[in-house]
Amino acid sequence: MNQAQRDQVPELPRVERTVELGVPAAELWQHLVDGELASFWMGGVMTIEPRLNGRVLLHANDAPIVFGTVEELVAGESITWTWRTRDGEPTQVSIVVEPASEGSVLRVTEQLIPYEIVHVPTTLG
Amino acid sequence: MDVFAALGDPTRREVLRRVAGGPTTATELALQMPISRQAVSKHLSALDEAGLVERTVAGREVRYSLRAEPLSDVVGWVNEVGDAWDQRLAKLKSRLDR
Repeated sequence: MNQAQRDQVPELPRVERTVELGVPAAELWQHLVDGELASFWMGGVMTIEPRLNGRVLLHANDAPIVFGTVEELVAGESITWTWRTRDGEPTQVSIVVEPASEGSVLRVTEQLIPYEIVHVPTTLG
Repeated sequence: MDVFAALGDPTRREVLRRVAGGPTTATELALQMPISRQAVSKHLSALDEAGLVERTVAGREVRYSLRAEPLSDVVGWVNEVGDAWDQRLAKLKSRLDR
């Protein structure tokens, strides 16, 4: 089989980003798990309950509400949630915070996940 | 089933990769893979529903070939989600690096 033809079929798509920040990891962590602080940079009003099975909500003015659930949490180090809009594709977001010589590093990965393993409520109740 | 859901299953992705290698049948695919012909047919139906394969009937044979156009949705998703994170992280950096 032609490799170029095979390569037309992608793995489940994912987006990865890394950013270095000039604050200690502990301070950066607060900007992830404090809804008020996270709302400044996440692009909408962010609600986040930093505990296993905690709720994640992102409500931007010009976009559908994104509903999520925290799936993994290592306090101060990493958080993973699954979220989706009512009609959108479910995705998993993983954020890792690490100390660095000049402050800290944040690594974020968002990837599509199969519907069959998604258990995200899509109501505000 | 949409293209993202269709691609969500690793076996289905492998079926599609093999279809991308050239028109083939469910029977031929089952001979190449460790799954039954019925399972292959089920995956091909899902791929057909998502518009990712084209069925061509020739006599009693049904051959499947790749329809690549829907895969552009995947590129669109990566661009959209990537742009969103770029904007978020730029805002975060502007707030914390002061």
